[in-house]
Amino acid sequence: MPFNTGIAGVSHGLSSGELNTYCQNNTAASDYGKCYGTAWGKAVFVQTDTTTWPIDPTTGDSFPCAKDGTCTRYTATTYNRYLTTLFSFTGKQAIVQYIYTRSHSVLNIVGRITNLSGHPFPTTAGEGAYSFLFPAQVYEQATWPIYDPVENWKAHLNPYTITIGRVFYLRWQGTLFTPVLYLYAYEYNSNNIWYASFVKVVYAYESSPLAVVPLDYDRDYVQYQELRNAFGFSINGVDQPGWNADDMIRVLRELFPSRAWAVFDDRQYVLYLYNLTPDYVPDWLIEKLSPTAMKVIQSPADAAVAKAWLDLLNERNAQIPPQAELP
Amino acid sequence: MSDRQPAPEPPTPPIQSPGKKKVRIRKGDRWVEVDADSEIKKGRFKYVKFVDDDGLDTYWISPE
Repeated sequence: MPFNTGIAGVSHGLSSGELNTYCQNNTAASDYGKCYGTAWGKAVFVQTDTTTWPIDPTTGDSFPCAKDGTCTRYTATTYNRYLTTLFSFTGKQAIVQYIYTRSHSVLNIVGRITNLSGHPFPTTAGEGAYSFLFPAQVYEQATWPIYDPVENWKAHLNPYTITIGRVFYLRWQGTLFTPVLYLYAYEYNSNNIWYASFVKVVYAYESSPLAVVPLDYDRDYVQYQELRNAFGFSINGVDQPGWNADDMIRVLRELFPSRAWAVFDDRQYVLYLYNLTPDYVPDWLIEKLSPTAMKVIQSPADAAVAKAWLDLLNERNAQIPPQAELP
Repeated sequence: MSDRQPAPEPPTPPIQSPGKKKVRIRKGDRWVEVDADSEIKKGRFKYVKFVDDDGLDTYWISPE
């Protein structure tokens, strides 16, 4: 196939099922700082007061939702909060075709869809909502729901209600060529705010050998400069195109000798497995890649290593059902 | 007297390891017969397991 489709889904505390996810940011409330109904990750809460809610190096963060694990608390305000990298290719482009965001937030939306305060939004630039994705921001309509027939945006405010805050939906379909896509939230330097979100991006890229290994962009990927020349990064751990399967195997062997990973050779249609056997390869990955063969470069010495690869891969591709079960 | 030639001997069956099954797979542009150890099902596909020429445990898509 000349093109692959990548799907990146990132959740910050919002699942497809729970419709009343919110946090309490009224400082007078007895449950101040608590978050409710979070699933698939954590909500985001900005609270800079570390005197009232200190972060102890041993006991951790005393802020209620950070303490109970339902939010990620930030203690510094910012205009544009970098949340994650959805994909980052070197020398290859993806074609972004579809963006969908749903978010719950306490921040105001000031009429136009470009004022996406507190709502995570994919962008090609290192900033928040104001990107070249919105070349005609001054012409946008200010009434909800919004359909922009020129740029093909659809946006909906409060299609349902939540206990505290607003609900915001946004969808865009089009064509955007880019080697990188980040997720930012435009917080406008606000304190005592929260948001929860689910973002989905669909993109295409040329068929390539793939490194199938879920990596942490900041921890595992960036520090190894040589990886940048071997293959790209994708938050789903699958759509990570490189140039040469042999090179990718060599690099991965060197960098991750004790982890599990796979390399898909798109010319031979062979999926090479390292510290893995086909038992650990989920069916959805087989359906996506349709390999002619799987070859075990190295059997797993420790089943936990293979299981960790599978679990992380399933978690990052939770939007692709059904998930494989181990025998 | 007949000048008919005797019928050719039937081909000797290939030596097969115990517990293995001869399976024909499509490798590139040709059919190859391999000694399959076992079969597994993944998604829509069925794969046969054997040790390939490169010495690696290999699971090849089964044409059946």
